[in-house]
Amino acid sequence: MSGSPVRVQLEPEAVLQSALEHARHLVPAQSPLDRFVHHNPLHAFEEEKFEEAVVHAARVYDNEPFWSEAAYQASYAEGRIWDVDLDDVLQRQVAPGLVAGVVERRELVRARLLSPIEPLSGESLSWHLTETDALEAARHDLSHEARARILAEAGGDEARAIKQLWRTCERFGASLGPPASTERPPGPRIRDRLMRAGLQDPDTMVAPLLIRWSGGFLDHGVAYWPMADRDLGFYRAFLAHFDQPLDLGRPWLSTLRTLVRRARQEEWPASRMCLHVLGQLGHAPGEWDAVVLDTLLALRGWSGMFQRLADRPDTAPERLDLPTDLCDVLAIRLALDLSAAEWLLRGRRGQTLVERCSELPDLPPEPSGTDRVWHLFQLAQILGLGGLTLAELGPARAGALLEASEGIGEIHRRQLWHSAYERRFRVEYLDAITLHAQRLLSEPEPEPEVRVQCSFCIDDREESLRRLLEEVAPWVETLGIAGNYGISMYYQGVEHGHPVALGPAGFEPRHLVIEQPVHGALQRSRWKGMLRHNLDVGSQTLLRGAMVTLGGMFSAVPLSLRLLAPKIHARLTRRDLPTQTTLLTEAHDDHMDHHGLAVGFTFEEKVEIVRETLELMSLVRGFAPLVVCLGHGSSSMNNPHEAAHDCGACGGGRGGPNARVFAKFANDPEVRRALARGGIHIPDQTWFVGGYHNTADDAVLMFDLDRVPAEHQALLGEIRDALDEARRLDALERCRKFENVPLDVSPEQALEHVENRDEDLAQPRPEYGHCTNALCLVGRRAWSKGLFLDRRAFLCSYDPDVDPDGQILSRLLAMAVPVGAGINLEYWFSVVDATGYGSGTKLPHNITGLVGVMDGHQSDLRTGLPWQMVELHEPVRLLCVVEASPQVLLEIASSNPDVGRLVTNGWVQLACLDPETGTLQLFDDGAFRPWEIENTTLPRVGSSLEWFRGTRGFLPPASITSTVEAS
Amino acid sequence: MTLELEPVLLVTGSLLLLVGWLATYRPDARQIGVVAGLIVTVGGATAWLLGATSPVLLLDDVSLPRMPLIGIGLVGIFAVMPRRHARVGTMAVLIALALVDLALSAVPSRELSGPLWVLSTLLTWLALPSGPPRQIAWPYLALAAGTGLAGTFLGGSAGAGLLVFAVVIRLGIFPFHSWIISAYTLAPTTIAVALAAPMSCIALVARHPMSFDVSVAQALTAYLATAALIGGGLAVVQRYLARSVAFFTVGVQALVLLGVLDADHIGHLGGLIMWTLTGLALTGVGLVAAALRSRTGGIRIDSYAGLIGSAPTFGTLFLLFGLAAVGAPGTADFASEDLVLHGGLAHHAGLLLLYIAAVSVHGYVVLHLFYKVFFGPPRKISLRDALPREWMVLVAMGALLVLAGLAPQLLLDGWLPMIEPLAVGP
Amino acid sequence: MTIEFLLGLLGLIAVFMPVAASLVMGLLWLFGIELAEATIHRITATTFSISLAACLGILAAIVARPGASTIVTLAHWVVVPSYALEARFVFDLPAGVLMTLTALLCGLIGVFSAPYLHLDPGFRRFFVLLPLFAAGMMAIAAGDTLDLVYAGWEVVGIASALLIAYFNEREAPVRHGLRAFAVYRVCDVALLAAAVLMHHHAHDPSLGMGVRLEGGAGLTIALLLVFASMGKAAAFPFTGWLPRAMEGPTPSSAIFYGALSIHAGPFLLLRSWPLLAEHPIARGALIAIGVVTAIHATMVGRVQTDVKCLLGYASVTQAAVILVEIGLGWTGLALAHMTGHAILRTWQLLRAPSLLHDHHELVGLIGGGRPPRGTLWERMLPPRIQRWGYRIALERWFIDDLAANRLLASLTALFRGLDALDQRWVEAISGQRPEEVRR
Repeated sequence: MSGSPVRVQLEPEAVLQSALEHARHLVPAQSPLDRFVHHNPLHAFEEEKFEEAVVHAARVYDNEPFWSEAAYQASYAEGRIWDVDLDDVLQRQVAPGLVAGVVERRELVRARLLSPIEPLSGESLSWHLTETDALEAARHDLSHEARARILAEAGGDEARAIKQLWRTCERFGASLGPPASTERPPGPRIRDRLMRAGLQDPDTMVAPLLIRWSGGFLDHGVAYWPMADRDLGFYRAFLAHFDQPLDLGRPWLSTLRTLVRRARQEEWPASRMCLHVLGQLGHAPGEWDAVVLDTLLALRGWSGMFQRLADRPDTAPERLDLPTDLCDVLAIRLALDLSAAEWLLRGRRGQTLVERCSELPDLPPEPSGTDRVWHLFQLAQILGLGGLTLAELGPARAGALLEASEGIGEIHRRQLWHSAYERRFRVEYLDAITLHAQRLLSEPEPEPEVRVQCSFCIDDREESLRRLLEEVAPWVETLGIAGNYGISMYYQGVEHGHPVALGPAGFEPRHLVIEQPVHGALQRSRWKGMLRHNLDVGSQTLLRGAMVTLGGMFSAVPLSLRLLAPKIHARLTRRDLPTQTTLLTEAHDDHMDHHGLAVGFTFEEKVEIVRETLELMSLVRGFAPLVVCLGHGSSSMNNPHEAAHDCGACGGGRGGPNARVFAKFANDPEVRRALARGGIHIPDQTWFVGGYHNTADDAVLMFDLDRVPAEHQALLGEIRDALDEARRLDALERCRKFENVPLDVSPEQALEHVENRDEDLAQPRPEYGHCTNALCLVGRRAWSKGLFLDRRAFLCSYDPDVDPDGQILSRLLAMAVPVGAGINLEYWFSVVDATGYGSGTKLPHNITGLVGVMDGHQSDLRTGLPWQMVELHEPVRLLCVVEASPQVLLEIASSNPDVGRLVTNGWVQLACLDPETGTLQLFDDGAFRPWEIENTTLPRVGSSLEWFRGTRGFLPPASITSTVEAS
Repeated sequence: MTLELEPVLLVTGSLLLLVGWLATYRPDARQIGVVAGLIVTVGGATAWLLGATSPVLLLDDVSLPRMPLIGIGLVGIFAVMPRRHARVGTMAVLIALALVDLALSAVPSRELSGPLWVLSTLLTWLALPSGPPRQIAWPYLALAAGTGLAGTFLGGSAGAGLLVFAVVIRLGIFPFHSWIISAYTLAPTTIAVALAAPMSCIALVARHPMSFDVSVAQALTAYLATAALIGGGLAVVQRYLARSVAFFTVGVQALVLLGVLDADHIGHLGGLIMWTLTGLALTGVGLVAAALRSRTGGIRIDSYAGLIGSAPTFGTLFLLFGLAAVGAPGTADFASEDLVLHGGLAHHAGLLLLYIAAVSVHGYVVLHLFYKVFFGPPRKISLRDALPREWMVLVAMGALLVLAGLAPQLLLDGWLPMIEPLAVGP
Repeated sequence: MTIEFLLGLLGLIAVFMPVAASLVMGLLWLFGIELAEATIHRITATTFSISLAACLGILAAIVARPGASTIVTLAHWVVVPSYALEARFVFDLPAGVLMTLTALLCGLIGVFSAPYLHLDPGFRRFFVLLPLFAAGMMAIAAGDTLDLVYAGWEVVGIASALLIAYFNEREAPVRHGLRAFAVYRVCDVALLAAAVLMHHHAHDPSLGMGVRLEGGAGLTIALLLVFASMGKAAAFPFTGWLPRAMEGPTPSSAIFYGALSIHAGPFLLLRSWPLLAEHPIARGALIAIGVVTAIHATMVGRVQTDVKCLLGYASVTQAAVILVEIGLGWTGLALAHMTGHAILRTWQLLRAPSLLHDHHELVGLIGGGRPPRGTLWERMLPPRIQRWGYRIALERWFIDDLAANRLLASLTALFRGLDALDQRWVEAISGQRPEEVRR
């Protein structure tokens, strides 16, 4: 941070710093792409209630707070919102009362929700009136009664009735007055002032230049020539580059050049530049908060990346340790804004910029909004008021009616719609869970003997695999645990060039684990890499390029092969890696690598990891002979957002190594002895196997199988067969959502398809990721076992019996709720406003500087999720159902601010399940209230396959009563 | 098989009576217009295809092919015109104007065309709504009427010069554009399109290639190409769609006139085809602009208006008509433009470049307007895409233009007999 | 069956498959008939498979009988006394090569795009424009008259402009599409003029027969052709549009700016080489343009930080080298270079979104550390000069700024002035400003 040496300016300096601090929280906090971790895009707003926060944030970011009305109306038409949901929402959120003495307020609101009024005014209205049948026929969507009432007033003559109504509305028109303005208040920047005067948008001049230079500064290894002086920080490097002669064709930069020269001579720090320009632009310190924020949000993706790399330099793809400071960006941007404004206002009267600005005209805003006569006309029809009835009401009451209708603003309507939408989801799933629980209580099924325990990440994508595995092999018990298995480490596999972080995104790991081949040293194909690199770089240069491209004909082979037979090409080009490897996990006191990482774990750390992890998955007794621990990740081609499909608990990494390390520790007899001293007795015949599930191609890989004792080999074979069968079915279940896969494929074909899909260069949807995630179940698997949840639920294992004081639950929720909410909310916002919070369609995405993507040739860095990832998502807030008492949960919420904030402000919904009665209580408005079920039956099916076969879209929950025959 | 004109006239007349009766039954003036346009179309097409002859009028390949196309244009104009602009009086004037202009292209002698020309300018004036549009137009139209009339009497190259001058003013080619440009914005756009786009007034000079001195002809060519270039440039800097389309229209018209005036028979032939087909394409462009304007009250194009989402049909048609008007490959004018280029222009590299530059600029203008109007962030306005009646006639026009572009020889064969006698020269 | 007949038959099949496909899909689109995605995919794949098979047949025939070529007059598009606009094709080695490239790459891009653009609102639009573009390229490849080449040239231009603006809901693609089209138009003037002059001076010129024209007219035409090729090849000073054209979906960027349309310019010159060969001045100009472009593009390309611009400038660099090769008369080399470059660049552009994936793999292969970068200049030049050079490269030699802020700004000011004059004049007569009034 560059502090001003001048004492006198301390006060404005402090104001500036506080404005910057404010902005730091609000710029997008997305990491570079290969460390993509889901987070709540509105993290900075979590102190507010959800409904208010989304509207507030939408104002700050100029985004959409909810889905569009049309989207909710379409959901209503599809049966994803029911009338009872609307009833309930109106009941809760709209005050009762009679409006203008004719209509119940709730009925009015309902009418406005269901019957959109086309926002016509002025010219478009008069065209509409003369060229369509608006004045001859009633609205086509009127209810039977409304239509009958209106027609009755003209003896059944529709045209006459409508004309009569229109005339009455017109007559009232004079007394109605003009509609209230819906214009947004003007922004605080000088650019907004210039735009209001109809001048050129200075951002079109500033942005391309700033993007180029920001891109140059933040480049982590794309450009052949890196930018010089980057160690000085963006501000100084920029000044150094611009303090040069020769600049052609850019007269608008003359002010900037003067500024640069002065700043270099007087050695201004960045903040001094900011203060100077803010003064020149005539902003009073009181406005700085808003100006600084809006200025930085103009290119929010880039600003966010500067801030993110300042906060977490370890997330940079190469450890460049660039000094990135938001103040630098602000200084440059302000200077450029000033320069552009000076140029656009050249030749106008007035000495200073402020004077010239004050002379600018204000263009009248484009007419917008809905004509009031038209609104009344439509409203009367929707409410079934004919011309005579309306005339009887008189202008005053008609006006009151109109005002009440206009008061139901668009945002308000969308918020109501959304409440109804989420309610439908709640009813469907909470009812299903209740009914399923009661079925289990009333007709308990025999507990089969558990021969294998298989743990998965809590990830919603593992729900289907767990369910299918249980169906295929009833002798398997499945468990859910955060996929990092309590381990936070840097890991360098044999395929890696340098260590990758595998651990929760919140912290930087302090341990390093290295994979080594068992036989001999690791043979690196350095020459192969250098050849490839040189060919690649060479093809882009002049003379080498000429030679390389001359031989380019040969790339027709990989090109055709990759496009026509992706799997074959992938197999041919796969790296030849050692198959037998071992992990260096032992700590040596003196062993620190050059980044200060401890190599391996100490014995105490190992014990702690195993104990903690076993507790978190409530696996402290009843160990099966074989425990398979699966981590997960996802590989795909041509996908800049590849890391977004990886394990969230591993900070956007692939969690196989974590499971492997955990299994290794848990198999360690020393560790077991230490655990036994703490009360966890792992039987000697129990063996842990680490593994990895690729959620894109549904491959399941297991590690260190050569070390599995001989007596477990048979069981191992069985579980591998069961997993094979389960993943085939899993592929099939996933395929039902891929629209270009026929519905009648066999499980084998489905597996084949996803394997190809994963390697397909042309496939923008290698998998649908966390699409439709909505639930988080924390409790014994018994409650959710056999419940078809359609890959919508995070599943955490938790046994309240072994955790009487809620200590484990507290740790569990502290981890699961923020992670689940982060994923859920990132999807929520990315689908609600796909181009504002999301990054739009991924088809034009262009990787820049190895850190982010731009749209096409040049744009802001796009944050959030691309459309292809979220297109199937249904935006509902995460609904956590925890098997615990309300008291325990309230206590956890109050003692853990991270969880408490999310719950009490409604960013996640919380319900608790009473194991005795199988009933639910929903946290609502500060307290738990019993959940009353609406549905009395839950469909029962023989198997998942039977339920999902032949369907594409939403599938309600169902209870699965028997198992499928393994074929 | 040949057909006498009289029976055609008889059928057309009785159809008109029928329309009159229909009009009393349901008095929406546009229906009269549409039916009248259909009659002209059907009558014209029949007459052309069957090779009608007439003792009075000169029904040949200059006048006949224009009849159905003018007819379709009329149908389009009345289908798009909003009800509030469709007064019976206006309707009658526009139909009369179309008929007079058609007659103008079929009069056998110059002496007769004089009075028709005056009548045509008078009707043009009448078609404009009173107030500013007429105030601006009358000096221009009076001058055009006067010079045209004088030209028909004078004869010789001076007379020819006057005729050309009259046509230039009537078309509104730079710098005589102000009246027609403001008609596009101050008058209902559909009426302005009816007055400008079909370019019927070129009939005054279209009968034969004009024979001027080489230097005069070159100066005229240079002038028209420059005027077209300027028209294109002005179209790019406009802030409103209708005004921009107006500049585009007069710019293209300068190029058409240049072709028609070409002394070279190939160029002249190209000009004649362009005259007819470009008229149809420009009508289409104008009608889409008019339809959008009557729906919204005017489209600003200083930023992108983003209408493709709400009006995809209009978008596609606008692009099609625009490209057809500038002779993109696959549309009708590609061949005729080629003929113009290979006519007199080929002899003078400088003029050739100027002409091509003007064509090129107009090609750019088409995409510029299309992008500005239809692309960009979607505007949250309520806009209805083409109504069924608009869709039918506009798609028919578009299909015709594409058809003529794929097989231009079909059209050309009709024109050839007229050109062949001229081609026998050296 | 003679080899000429065979060549002609195969050639016509190759050319007319995409023409027919674009026509059918375009008409269906115009009339609002929506085909299923799978059907569109099948039509596209079939079209280009047949076309590719025919092209390979041509190449095989030419290999079997070196030097074979044939000229086919398909139809007299327009015939009037003393002039004819003919649809006349030449099928020989250069035509065969470019046609094969077109069919192969368009076919592969078709295969690529079907899943890539799945569910995209512009899916149908893309598959109308792809065969349209291919049809244009075929006309450029096999057109025997410059008029036919011009028709193809125009079609390619319009298809490019529409594909750049594929994502038309954002402003940048639309703006850049227009910009590319504007550059195309400027250079198209020269091609059209060359076509007319060629017709005028060499009666019935046939590119396949090798038009030769001496003297001033020949030189003019040669220079016009050189100028015409500069637009599509993104030669200096028209380079700026090409990186900006990377706005469309990745496959269209790959095929247009990496592979095919950027080579249309060099191919035109290759085709008219016999004419060019006669005029050292034109060849000199071509070499000079090529050299300047190559230096410009390689220098600017070195500082690009995003993968698509990087590849865009790399493409320009090689296209410029090809121009130089043609200028030097190494036409065989140029043809080979063109082929290799087109395929390689398509492959690289299609892989562009895998950059991170490939980067990790590369780092894994070389065993950690940053892949080496350019250090030659860092060692040789003083820091001040380095910074200077970096800025000039990053700002792309200021050519775009010069064009926008000087040339276009003054033109716009001129026409705005004329417009203001007109408005004032109308206001004086009628008392009303003629800008749009709401009515």
